[in-house]
Amino acid sequence: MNQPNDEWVWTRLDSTKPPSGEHIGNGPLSSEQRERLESERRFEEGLTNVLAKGGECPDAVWQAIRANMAKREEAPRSFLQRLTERRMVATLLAASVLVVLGAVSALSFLGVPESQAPPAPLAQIEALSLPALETPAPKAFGDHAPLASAFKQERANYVREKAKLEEELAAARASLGKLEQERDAVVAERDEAKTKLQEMEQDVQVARSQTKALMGDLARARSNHKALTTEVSELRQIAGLLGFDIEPGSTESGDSAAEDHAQVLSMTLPARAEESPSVMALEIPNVDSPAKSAESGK
Amino acid sequence: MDEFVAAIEQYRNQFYRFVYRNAWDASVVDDVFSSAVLAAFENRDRFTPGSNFRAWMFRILANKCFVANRETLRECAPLDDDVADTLPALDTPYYMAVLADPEPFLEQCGDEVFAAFRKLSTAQRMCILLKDVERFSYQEIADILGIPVPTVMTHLARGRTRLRKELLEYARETGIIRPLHRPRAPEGIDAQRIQGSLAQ
Repeated sequence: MNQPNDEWVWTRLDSTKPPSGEHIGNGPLSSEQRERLESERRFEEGLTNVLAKGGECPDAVWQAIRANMAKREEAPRSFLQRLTERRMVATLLAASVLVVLGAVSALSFLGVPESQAPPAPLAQIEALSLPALETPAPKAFGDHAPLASAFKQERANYVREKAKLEEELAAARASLGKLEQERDAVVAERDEAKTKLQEMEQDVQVARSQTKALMGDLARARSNHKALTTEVSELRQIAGLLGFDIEPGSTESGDSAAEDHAQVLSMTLPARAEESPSVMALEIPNVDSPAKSAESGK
Repeated sequence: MDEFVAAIEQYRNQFYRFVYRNAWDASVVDDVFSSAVLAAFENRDRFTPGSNFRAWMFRILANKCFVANRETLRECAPLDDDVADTLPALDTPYYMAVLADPEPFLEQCGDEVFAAFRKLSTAQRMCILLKDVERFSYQEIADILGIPVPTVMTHLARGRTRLRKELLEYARETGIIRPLHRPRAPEGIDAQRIQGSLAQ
């Protein structure tokens, strides 16, 4: 019965469509279904009649409720009125106290001259007869000159403090300007140093490449010299065989040239340009120009 | 005030019966009814004139019943709402016998109908009462209980099914009814042809 297929019974019973929206109950019913539906309807009516019986509201309960309603009908107005009255009285009192105190404090802070300051608020404070105001020293309230002088003094102090703080602020601003200028100068120097460093690095690169080229030339000259020396010794041997006697050093270049020649040949040649201590020992800040660095590379 | 009291008094038995049937604890019925009526009295300004006063009152009554039953539920064991699904199907010979003549069966059941009704959940009870007894539409019930219409239909279907099964169980145990077996035609015989020949 509680399955979806039996839904038509309840929907037909209540003369409504099923919740799924299908028109299960709209089509014509078979005789068996009609019989079943009629039986269900009678069963449901019987149940309804049973459930509708009994459970009448007792008169005592109803009378109690009516009495309660009548009591609430009367009670709320008086209670609300009382509440409203109390609230209004309390609000008025609080508002008057606040107005008086506010006026007194405003007059004191504004520094109104005594001749213009109305004495009414102080009179109202006296009229309040608060315990704290009933204590001695009533003269102060009759004439509020001490209060006014105190506030004037306080105001003068405030003005002095303000001027002092403004001076400090101006000094701080000036020092801040100086510091900003120094910072700009330092930044400019840094940029300049950076530029110089880049130029130096470029010079070192050029010097290294030139040193490499010179080392290559020197190696080639040495190999040429070696070949020439070999040829000379061979020529001397040939000349000896032919009967000519040629002594070493009897060339047209002379003695000084021979010495230079021997000195050059005796130079130790590094295998690679990077191994040259004079080149690798270069320090960038000491390099003035590419030409000088090339000379030191030699 | 007089108008409100008159309106309440007109339906007070219906309102009271609704609480009486829905409250799990019978001792709180008077209190729940009183508090509902007084709540309606204090909030009568919120009632829109011209709208359905009964539906408005039933909404207040339903809320009060839910609250009261929630309080009762804290002290009692919760009802099992899925019992209906585990009970045997209704298309049994016993149920057929009941449907054949339901009035005497219900008379014989007597107060057992109320006992079976109390086994339903609050929502199922309210839906059945509002639909069958108070004759509200699905939409009105949905508005009163604050639930969708399909939920109302589900509560109705489950409540009615469970109510029937509870009564059937009682009837089977006490022997009020006997199963009704419908005669079947023997195999090989065309019942329609026989009926047609008999009619001729």
